[in-house]
Amino acid sequence: MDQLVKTRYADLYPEMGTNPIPLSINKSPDQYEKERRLVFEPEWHLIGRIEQVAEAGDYFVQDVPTFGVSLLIVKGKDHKIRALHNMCRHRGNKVVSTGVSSGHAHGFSCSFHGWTYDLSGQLAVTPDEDQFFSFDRADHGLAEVHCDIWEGFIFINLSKTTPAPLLDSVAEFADQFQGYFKDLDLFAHFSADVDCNWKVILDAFAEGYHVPFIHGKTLPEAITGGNNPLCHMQNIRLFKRNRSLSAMGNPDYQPTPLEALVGAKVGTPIFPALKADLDELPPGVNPEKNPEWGFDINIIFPLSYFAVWANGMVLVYNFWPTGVGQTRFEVKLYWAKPANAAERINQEITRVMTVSVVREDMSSLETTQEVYQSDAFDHIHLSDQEIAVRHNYELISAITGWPLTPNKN
Amino acid sequence: MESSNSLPPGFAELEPFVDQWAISTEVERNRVRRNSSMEEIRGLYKAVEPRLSDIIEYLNEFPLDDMPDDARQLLRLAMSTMEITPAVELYRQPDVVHAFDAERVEILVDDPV
Amino acid sequence: MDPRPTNLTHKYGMSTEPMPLEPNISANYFEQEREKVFTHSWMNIGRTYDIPNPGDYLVKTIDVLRTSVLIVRGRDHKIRAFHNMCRHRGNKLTAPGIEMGSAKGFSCAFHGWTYDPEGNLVVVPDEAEFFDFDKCDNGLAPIECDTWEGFIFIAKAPKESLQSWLGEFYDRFEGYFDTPDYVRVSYYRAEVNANWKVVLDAFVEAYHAPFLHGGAYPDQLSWEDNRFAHLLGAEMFERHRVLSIEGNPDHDPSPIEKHLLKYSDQVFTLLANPEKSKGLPKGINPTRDDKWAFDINVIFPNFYIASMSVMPLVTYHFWPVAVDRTVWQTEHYMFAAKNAGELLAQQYSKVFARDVQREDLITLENTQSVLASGAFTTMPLSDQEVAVRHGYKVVEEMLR
Repeated sequence: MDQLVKTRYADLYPEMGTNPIPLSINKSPDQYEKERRLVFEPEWHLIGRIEQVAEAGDYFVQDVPTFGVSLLIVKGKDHKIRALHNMCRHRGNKVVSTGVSSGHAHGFSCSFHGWTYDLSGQLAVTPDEDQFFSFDRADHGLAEVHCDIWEGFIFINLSKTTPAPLLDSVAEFADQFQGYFKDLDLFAHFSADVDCNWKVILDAFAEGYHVPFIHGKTLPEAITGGNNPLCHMQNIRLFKRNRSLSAMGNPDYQPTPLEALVGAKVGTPIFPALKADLDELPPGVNPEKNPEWGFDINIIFPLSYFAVWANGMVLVYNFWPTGVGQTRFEVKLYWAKPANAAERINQEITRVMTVSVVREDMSSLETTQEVYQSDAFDHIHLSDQEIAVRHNYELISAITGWPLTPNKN
Repeated sequence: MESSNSLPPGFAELEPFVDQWAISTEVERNRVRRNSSMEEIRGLYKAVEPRLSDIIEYLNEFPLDDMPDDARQLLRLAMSTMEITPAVELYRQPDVVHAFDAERVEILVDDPV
Repeated sequence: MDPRPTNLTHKYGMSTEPMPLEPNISANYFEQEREKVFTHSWMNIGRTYDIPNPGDYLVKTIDVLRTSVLIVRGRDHKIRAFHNMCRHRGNKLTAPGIEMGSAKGFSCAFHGWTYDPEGNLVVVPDEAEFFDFDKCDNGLAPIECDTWEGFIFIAKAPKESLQSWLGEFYDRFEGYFDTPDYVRVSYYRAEVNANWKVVLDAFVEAYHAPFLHGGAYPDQLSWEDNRFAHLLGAEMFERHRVLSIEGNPDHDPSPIEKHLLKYSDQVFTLLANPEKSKGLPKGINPTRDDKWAFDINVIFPNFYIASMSVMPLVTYHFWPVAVDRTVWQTEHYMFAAKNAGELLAQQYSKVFARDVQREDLITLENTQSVLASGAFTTMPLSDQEVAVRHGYKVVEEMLR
């Protein structure tokens, strides 16, 4: 353990350097427009699981506020999963209204004038069709966007041209999780509009340095404490564009009375839930096969994140930039469907804890952005444990040409 | 609001609805409609609808700006019935089925009765 | 013979191509509309009967003109409009939230400068401290103002008189709306996150009625004889337009309606009333059809008057705030209720209309939120949506 904690990532990834990072990259409107065009638009974004559209006719709505887009992810009669613009081809009304997040349908009928589309997005019914001019229903289906699946995760891509294959985005993760993700049920979904740059919020989820401070009350000693009081990562891997971090759990954690009670019924501790059978894990899960493993964070460049917890829970985060200083942060929690009341209660405890932790994470973000805007200082310093944060800035800088060299003034 | 015999003679069977539905403004009538159950809404409709002509004939004897208190309470019940009628006759749920947020529509002419 | 008109789009010489979405999402287009359309348009801001006495006034914030307008009836009974802005340091003369009132004059809260109801500056505290100062030169800045059919219109920089602007409408209603007998029984208003044309469009076609209002109007606007609520009439003028909508004369009143009809003939859902479709000025029920339910008279750019067989006057306003924000307002006018039966019929009609209008509003923000998605960039419009198409054409011509 001591050995791990003392790893110097700067030595492992010398190309990352150790310079302070200029803050201007998080507050320039021009830079934001560049990122929108060069980083967000061409890339794949992880938005959900195939279990959410298990049957033909199952659908869910995914808004991508970065591009003012609402998408319907729907399984067709041919069992193909498609991503369709949720926008009637007539006057542009949403065919599934704001406020409806998922459902089962035989087709989609626009509430405005009754135009009806089948599950593959083809226009099937146009009331009073002969009042239109030179009109062909075949030309008026819901517009489709690129959609592909990896390990049961659904990805979309809003590129106007043919994008690079999804596997190029998943890259180093591609064969690391084979068969691990199955029967994952979406049991919680929430989102928040946060007034900060998307990188500021992504940064907050790419290091453990903040855990003992921001989460000191919510997660007392579950993933800190013991021999790892400052929540050092057991492992940080920086790939070409993606990255992953593994966090340990504290085996000496003392559960609360409620956690102990429910844990006894479920047959395993609730936090940090060190129950994984190490031999059965694929290479991408707990890559060090550390017996004190807590969870992994896997970031798929640029805006998607999935985390795998030792207790079997899977989290998907989306960071949807909506402006240079605005981001919609979306959290989806997946777990096996509870088999009994104890598991259901365990799920609820975990959900409440996760909501609290994420709210704590968000608490610092808006004040951070405010201070960035103030010109009080123009660089931030990153510790060795924050090398995954640095990795993101290096990538964005390389793609957009924004200089990261320190500007001593 | 009086708790018993607040309505004119002959309308005693409507007394149980007074507490919830004798409301003087549209803003409040609409709010109560949206926050009531369909059972409560149908209860008012079923009680008032068969008597609505009787109610109007009774109330038409009074000038609108000079009504005794008991008649005014009856008018308020009838006004609430106007509010909930679409819920019963059309939407079969308290509020409009598919509609713009009611709280965002300002009601700017609303003379109390 | 089916009296309903066909081939309207061709008849009025318009293209049948799909219409671009750009005018509803482009901030630049909105700025051009501000400069080239709204700055020169006559716009209705109220009724002459709202301010019957000298000193009565209305206040209206007009975002698209970037001003607040003060409309006052002077002691000479003339109605005038002014920028609601003190000639000294520019403070508003009326308190926030005030939309109407009555005053002997207008005193600025900042330094006490006071104007009379005709807009003249009458009091300047400590006047001697100003330089080469003449009160006569420092009255409130006027805005062009005129009246027609009981409606007050203002214009910031008109290029023609109100009469000329109203064109085909000017003598069409023969004073039908110019009466104090129409009492404003309702006024509903909502700020909607959609372009003003997206909002207006939803109120100038009946194609949506069987779908969006299928629950509210099970058989009044579309029935066996007119399944898709085809128009009874349509006229596209140079800028303005008229639609006539028909109602089902065989609508079976609901139980509540049956009671109300005994005591009032103004029950909103009984849309077609042959008794009330006759003997009207030429501009009311212009088709002279017994099935007439109502007319929509769009007075370009953002005002419309609906005259109904069951309600003499309904007005709509669509006030642009930003490219994706509009204040929508509607007012219903009926004859004053003389007794409880008429009051209840009025209330029923108000509630019914309000619920239906909330259905009309529901698609607008859903639409605006995805218009810029790029999924498609044009919309196909049917012949029945001719007035939607006409609206875009008139704006486009003014921007050229």
